[in-house]
Amino acid sequence: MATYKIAGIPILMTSDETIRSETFAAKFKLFKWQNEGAAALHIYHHFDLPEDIDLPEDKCVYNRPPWHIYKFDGKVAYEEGYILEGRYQRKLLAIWSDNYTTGNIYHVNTDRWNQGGLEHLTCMPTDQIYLASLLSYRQGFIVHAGGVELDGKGFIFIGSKGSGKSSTIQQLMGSATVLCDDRVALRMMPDGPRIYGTWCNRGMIRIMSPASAPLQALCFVEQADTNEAIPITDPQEILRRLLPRIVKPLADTEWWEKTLAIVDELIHKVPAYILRRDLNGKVADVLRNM
Amino acid sequence: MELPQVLLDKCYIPSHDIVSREIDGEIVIVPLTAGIGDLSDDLFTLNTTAKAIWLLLDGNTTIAQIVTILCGKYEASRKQIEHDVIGLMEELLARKIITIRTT
Repeated sequence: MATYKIAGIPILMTSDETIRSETFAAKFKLFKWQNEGAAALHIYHHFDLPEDIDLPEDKCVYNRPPWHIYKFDGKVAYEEGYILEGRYQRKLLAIWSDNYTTGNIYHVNTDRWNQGGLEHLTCMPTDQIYLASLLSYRQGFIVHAGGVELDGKGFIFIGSKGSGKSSTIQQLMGSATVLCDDRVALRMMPDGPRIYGTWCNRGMIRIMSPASAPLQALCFVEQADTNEAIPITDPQEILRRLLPRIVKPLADTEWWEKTLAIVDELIHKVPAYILRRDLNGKVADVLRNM
Repeated sequence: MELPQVLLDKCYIPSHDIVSREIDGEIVIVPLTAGIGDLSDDLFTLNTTAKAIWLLLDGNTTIAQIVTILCGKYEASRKQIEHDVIGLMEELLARKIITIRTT
């Protein structure tokens, strides 16, 4: 049994096989949580595929091999499978309760588990898919962005590839706590929007933290030969820049309605800037003046 | 790409495969596609004029009636308004954001 916490959400994991210290990648040690009593999400790992689960073909909502996703009886099933010697063979099956509070992960064998160094708690290609779904029930979402905590304030850096998200974070290392270079969780809390580090990191800087901070500003990063922050006053422009960077799970009407409501509230509560920064490292001063 | 034909005597409704929300006076529309990951280019927004048309897509008002209603609100010629309405409808149909009401 092991407990982790991400975006303020405790996750309890149990397994039919022993969870060794090296079963999961070292990054998860940062997100370990000691309280086992109040998990909001339970993940169970099993090592034999259930024979009595019939995935109805007409309930398949996603079909891009090796992954098939089914929605049926209030559950969501992610099936990983391959054609081997002309026969379809299931490799992993993850079945989630409708609100993503319980996940049963069925492995075909213990090979992957025993190899260790697993990058995702579910052994699926990424944990961000179920986290994005789970967060929608907790007033939040995951955004493809870098995030830091600087002087107790949270800043998100958003931009397309090559815009300078990672180099901005690099410049801030030493003066700020890097929450994550690549994926940041955001939640609307009673005291305001808050950002959290995640372990879903495919960015250039593999530094992450379970820390969180009240969100001070949304920063849309642009490389320039100056250091300045230009306020964006048009909510529509903020929306058009932010929305494409939100990580979507297998999105349904309910997820979209919740997420758009959160975004609507967010863009009216948190200031947004075009952050132009050069390579001289003075971007921290610009952030402190926001 | 050949644009779908818009029929003036027919009624259209928003597709079941989209979610829309009014944010700051504009209609934001997102498709319920089966993709996973970043949203990329899925976002579609309607400005104030397009919103006026969108709000009339109630399944009971034909395109010709929408043009007539808008002629009472805007100073442009009927020909210009009809051209604009049909242009928007063609784009919404092509993106599968609306569908013709069949019953």
